[in-house]
Amino acid sequence: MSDRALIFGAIRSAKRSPARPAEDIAKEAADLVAHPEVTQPGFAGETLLDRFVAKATSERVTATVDQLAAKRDIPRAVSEYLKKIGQGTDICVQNCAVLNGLDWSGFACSPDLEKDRGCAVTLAEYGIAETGSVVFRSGADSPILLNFLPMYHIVVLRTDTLIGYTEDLWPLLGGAHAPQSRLLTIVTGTSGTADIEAINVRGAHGPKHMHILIVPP
Amino acid sequence: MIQTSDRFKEHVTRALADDDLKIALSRTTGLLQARRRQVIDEYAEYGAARERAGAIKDHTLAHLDHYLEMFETNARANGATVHWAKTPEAARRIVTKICTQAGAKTATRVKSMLGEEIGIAQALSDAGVERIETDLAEHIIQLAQDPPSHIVMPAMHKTHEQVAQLFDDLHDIAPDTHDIPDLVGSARRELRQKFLSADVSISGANFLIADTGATVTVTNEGNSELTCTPPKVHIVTAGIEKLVPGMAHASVFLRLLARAAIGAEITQYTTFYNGPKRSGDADGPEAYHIVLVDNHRSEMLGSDLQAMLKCIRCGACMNHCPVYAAIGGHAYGAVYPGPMGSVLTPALSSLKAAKDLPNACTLNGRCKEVCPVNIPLPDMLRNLRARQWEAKLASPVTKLALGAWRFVARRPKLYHFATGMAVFGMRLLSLGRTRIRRMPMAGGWVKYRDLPRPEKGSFMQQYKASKHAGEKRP
Ligand code: SF4
Repeated sequence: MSDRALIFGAIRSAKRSPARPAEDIAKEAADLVAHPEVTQPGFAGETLLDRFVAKATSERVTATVDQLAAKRDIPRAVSEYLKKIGQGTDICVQNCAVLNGLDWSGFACSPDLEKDRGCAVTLAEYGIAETGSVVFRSGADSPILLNFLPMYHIVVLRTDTLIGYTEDLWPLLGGAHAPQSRLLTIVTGTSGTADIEAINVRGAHGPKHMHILIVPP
Repeated sequence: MIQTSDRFKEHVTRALADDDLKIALSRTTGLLQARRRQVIDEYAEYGAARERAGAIKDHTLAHLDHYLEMFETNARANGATVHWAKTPEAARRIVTKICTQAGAKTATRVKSMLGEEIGIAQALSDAGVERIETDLAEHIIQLAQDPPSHIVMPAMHKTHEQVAQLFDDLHDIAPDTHDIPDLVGSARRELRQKFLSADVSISGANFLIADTGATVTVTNEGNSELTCTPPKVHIVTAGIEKLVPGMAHASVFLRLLARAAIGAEITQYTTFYNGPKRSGDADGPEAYHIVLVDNHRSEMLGSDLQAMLKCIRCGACMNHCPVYAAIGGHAYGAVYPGPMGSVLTPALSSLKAAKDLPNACTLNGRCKEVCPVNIPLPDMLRNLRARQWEAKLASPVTKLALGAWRFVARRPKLYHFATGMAVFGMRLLSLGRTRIRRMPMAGGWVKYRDLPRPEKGSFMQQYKASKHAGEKRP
């Protein structure tokens, strides 16, 4: 017998209740999460944007945030940030429509991210207010490593992509049977570790600093 | 790792005499407890979430065959190759074969306890593949050639001075200083190129999502995504109990796991893997394998150990266990230490090979209290003790003591007299202080710790006195 058959055989003989129709099981599963607000940390009275900024810049997440009046201000805000942290103009900008349409003259777009230098600018697909997290998916115009290799990670987030909770994210991805990208990652701040004596240190393998530029739609 | 739980007592003696271990444990457990306390206090919905998480796990386990089939179908549709392994040996054979067929020379690994359980290190060495641990703690214990001592923080037994020594000796470029941030920086420098040039990556899964076929990892370091993107093959090994029905169910667990494990609202990276690189993708592996492992889980189903299949491996029970805090994880001699390990190890091996573990417990109940899925660990440990008694595995001293206790306990007058005398005796031994330093017949216990002086009178004496006082109130 195959291992698969052995495992299913053992599970079925262990079960004390009789098998039920798939629809009944599906209904019971749906009922278990029918009222997500019961288990979600409430933040009534705060706007999504206020909550997002408060969480992203909290002591536990440690990102910095800059709110811009227009998308065209992004290159200027990036340049100011680089100046502030004492970095040169070497950046790697994600090759996607929103960011390509901007004027990046004055930047050198060739940092050696693999050698652990420099800074990347990437576009988040969503922002989650509950935890101050940003969401990325892999794709043709979205190399996932761009979010993990740099020391400085500059994230562009559009206010119209802010959502409350992870539960609000799943339907936006097309539901259970829609084709999914290879990888979806919810990133909350920077790479950290507490593996030595439980002391929190940033910049374990990925970014040590995250700067979020919040722009209008 | 080779299980040595049968030498528990020997390990304990050694652990209690290890001063570095004492320092390492005292520097960590308090911090972890305080961080957890704070985020749980801030989470008003915690009770409801905990109750809901337990219900979701009960539901999933009741229909485990249904959800495993669903997961398999969806993972295949995503482009994954799904393998099944009844035993650790079978899982190792599958991993070895995939590595050999890929002609792999090096494999980067993301920490997973299931990987430890099935002996991934062995599988890779059988395939002639160099293993590179990327999680900082796993990197430390790989250099030290130690087994893990904690399920979330495998290097908890090491002080930073010991880590500094290891990195000085074994890193290509020694750390700049011995401060913790510089030690972290040194590991970053050492591992960066290895992430990018490995042939195969191996991760575990914190959750399997039945209705999308996704495998989920949560890390703080971001080593999972860095590990599983550049190599041409990605292998996931996961226990069959990791299933949840859908994404909304996973949301409930993600909140609980991060809070219980590290005292955060969410871990820095929560990542869903859906298969190999899509056509046109800028990066990602060409092949993606999922190995689903049973290793006695299907036997636990329907038994009095079923609740253990709800465990999400957060480590909170060990962070709050006074026995673990005194002896650390290695003394348990098994992959899973602490309270959850004392329940799980006998199930994964045998009651006999792990016979001292269920007894390494004060039954104080903290583990159940802090467990995010409310697993009744103390009750399960008590059951295991009863089963040992029935199987006649209990030690002669335990048998003698329990026999004497039973004799006295069946005679209430004698019992109350004896416990009353014992309390009187213990208060005498405390010599007016609040701690007891020496105690006849319990030298092993008080050699490394003090016993608190008992309250005046036995429980029954106090109970009667308070009842008496209560009756007098108007
Ligand atoms: S038994 Fe509970 S507290 Fe212990 S690791 Fe498992 S889920 Fe966490």
